[in-house]
Amino acid sequence: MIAELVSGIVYSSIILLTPLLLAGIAELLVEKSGLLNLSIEATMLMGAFTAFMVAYYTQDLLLATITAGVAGIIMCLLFALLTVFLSLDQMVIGLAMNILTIGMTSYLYRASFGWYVSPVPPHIKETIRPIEIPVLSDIPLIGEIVFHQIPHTYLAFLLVPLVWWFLFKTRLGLKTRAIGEDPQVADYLGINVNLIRFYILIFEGFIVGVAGSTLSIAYYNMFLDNMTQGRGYIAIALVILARWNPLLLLPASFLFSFIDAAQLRIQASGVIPFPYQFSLMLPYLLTIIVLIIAGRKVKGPAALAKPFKKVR
Amino acid sequence: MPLIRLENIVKIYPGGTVAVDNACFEVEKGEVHALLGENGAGKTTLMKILSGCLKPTSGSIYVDGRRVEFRSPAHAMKYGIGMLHQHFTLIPSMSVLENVMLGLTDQDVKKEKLLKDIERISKFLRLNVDLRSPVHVLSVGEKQKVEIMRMMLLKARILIFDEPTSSICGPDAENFLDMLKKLASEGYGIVLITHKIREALKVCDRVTVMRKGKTISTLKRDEIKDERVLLEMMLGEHFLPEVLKQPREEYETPLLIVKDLVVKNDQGVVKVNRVSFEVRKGEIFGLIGVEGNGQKELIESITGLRKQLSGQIIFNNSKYSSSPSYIPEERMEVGVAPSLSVMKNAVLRDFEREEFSGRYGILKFSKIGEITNKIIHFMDVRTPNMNLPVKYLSGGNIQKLIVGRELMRGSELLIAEQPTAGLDVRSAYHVRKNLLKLASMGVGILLVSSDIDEVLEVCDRVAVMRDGRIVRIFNASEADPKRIGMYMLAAEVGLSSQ
Ligand SMILES: Nc1ncnc2c1ncn2[C@@H]1O[C@H](COP(=O)(O)OP(=O)(O)O)[C@@H](O)[C@H]1O
Ligand SMILES: [Mg+2]
Repeated sequence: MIAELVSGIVYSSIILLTPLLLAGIAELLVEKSGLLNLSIEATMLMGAFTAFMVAYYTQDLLLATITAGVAGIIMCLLFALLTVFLSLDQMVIGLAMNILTIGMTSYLYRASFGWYVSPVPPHIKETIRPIEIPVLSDIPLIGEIVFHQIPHTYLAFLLVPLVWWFLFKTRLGLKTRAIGEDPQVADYLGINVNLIRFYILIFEGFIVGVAGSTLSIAYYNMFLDNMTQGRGYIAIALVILARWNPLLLLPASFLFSFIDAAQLRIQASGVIPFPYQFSLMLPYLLTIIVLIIAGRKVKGPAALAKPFKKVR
Repeated sequence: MPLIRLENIVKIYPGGTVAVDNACFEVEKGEVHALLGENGAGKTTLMKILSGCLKPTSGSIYVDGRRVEFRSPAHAMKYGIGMLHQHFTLIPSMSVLENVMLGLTDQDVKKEKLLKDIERISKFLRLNVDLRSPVHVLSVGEKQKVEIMRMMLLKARILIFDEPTSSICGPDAENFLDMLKKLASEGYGIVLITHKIREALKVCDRVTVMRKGKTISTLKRDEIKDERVLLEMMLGEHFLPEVLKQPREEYETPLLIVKDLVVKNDQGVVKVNRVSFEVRKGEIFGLIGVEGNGQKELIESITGLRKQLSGQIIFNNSKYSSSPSYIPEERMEVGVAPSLSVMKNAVLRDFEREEFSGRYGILKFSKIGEITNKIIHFMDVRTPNMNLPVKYLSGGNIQKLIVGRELMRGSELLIAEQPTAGLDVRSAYHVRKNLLKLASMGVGILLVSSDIDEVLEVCDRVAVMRDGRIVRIFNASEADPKRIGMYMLAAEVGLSSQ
């Protein structure tokens, strides 16, 4: 009984974890290169919106996922233009893009489906289904939980070691870390700071766009106003919690989503004597506490969020 | 044919400063060529042009007789020109190996060969560090060598050094100069930027003197009979007198007492081991030692930047309000707030005093302007105006600003770390004169210096530090450069332990 409950919670926490881990791992890479991209919240929302629209009109889920990635790239290109090439303040631009996108997606949604949302909102019939990995999914307990997920989840798990390998084992990864520590010095050594940041942002755009698509075409079958609900910000907090280490990002995001899954379970059971809003608060509260305990002496990339301008 | 030739180089900075004015310069293979001049003469600017960091306003650069234009430092490196700047171009949190690999282009990736090359060069440079340790734990000298190694791996043929000895001391500086000679004998062309005539004469094959952006003259080493000729070329005028120690009162009152102090560094190694001494009213107490022997940690703990493990530090000042003045070695990190204006930096330590901020904490800029002006005139700080962020001043001028600020604060105790490092002859002279003047007014001064001559010139007592201990305290009368040097290095068998 207890085992069943726990494995149920673990199963749903891996579901909750997927968009966070995808966005987190991409943001981690971006932050390692010295940029702080708050607009991943907007990128994710745009991904969710685009995925839903394409899926609704074409019923093609693969196409919808890819288009979400492309929409994400476009968002990050805008961010790149403003912060990398025009050296504007990253926080201001990020926040502005987030607010803009909430309004824009809600507006476009209504422009397509009419101003009065009917009691049954537009939805798609098919959502992305979990895929069983042969052999591995037969492992008792773990197989059921881990290897019976949607492809996005596998992508997220795969990206963790990949990003680690890229950052710490490749020449380009070394350069990436260097421009996050001191872009002036990197530039002096002949590294093209803006170009590397540009490529990494494109990567982030795609991954975060796809992360957004999980919300509207995998876990739900519809789009809701501001349906990311701050998951982009959570991803950024998780990066700090993981101390900018890709390998720590996995446990960090699991911890968060496990609490989240548990509180959802408690809410659903209706046994708690206090208002459900309290348990809604729990994952965030826990993140703050963990940040206070674990995040104090941690230093991020030295040049994080500082605008870089070439002078000669 | 010279390896490198610069012809009629002019550089006008965006602000309108003519930093280099029709300068000509050349470097041959296998020579050490000193570029000598006062602060602000334009040496750094000229060499930054040669190394591709700056674009000349006009003029031409020839490499092997062919005219070139550099787009970037990396581009100049392709022609074999590398420069060691006054500020390091290393990334502190990354390992030595990573820093070395950073500049390499992709064709020289082969790791085994790279490691072999690194080993060979380390041996040549006498660099003994763990390749995996982060650069920020290395000493200044070691960092320099890592940068040199990187340039050598990039197949540099011309190595330019911008005041390399201003941050390393005594015997280390000697070793460094020897290393330059060794590099030259290997066929590298070496440019040594310096304002120290003696240093230039010690190693150079040729000297080019710069003054006010112009190259005054280039001389071969054996054409130089008298160093005063060079000094006159540098200054454009005549010689400065020796600073004279004035007879002064002797006080017994100690202002700073350090007792059995033990301090560890960031790695947990004990760097200061049961050190005791006192600085008395009206005396200049010198502290000298080879870099890395604990002076840094000692001063950091006295100034409160680092916690001591045990022992006592007692400030015995009568006026409660006056905290000791402090001229730090790390100017940019500790001495100034680089992006604040000259004016704000001039009162950085004291803006909370009533004379500078009114009842509601509103700064009195007229008062602040007055004191800033005083400092600027007193130390001859060259700045276009008082509102310029300090980071745009040259290193020497920043140093002058800090020294001026600390000298004029009127506190009873002054802790001065390398106060004349990076200053030209005239300003260094000025600083020493004023240290003596302050002492005669009763201020106690703790002077940390790597310059034996300077210490002997001004100090009443000199403590030599080695391996975290004070191995000997000399009175001025019994100290001479040779004996101090011996104690610094523990050169004699009899000296090896206390
Ligand atoms: N980035 C800069 N912008 C404007 N003026 C500068 C800059 N760097 C140096 N200068 C000015 O150019 C002159 C030459 O400076 P510099 O080349 O640093 O001299 P040196 O290295 O001989 O001390 C000085 O007057 C200095 O104030
Ligand atoms: Mg200079």
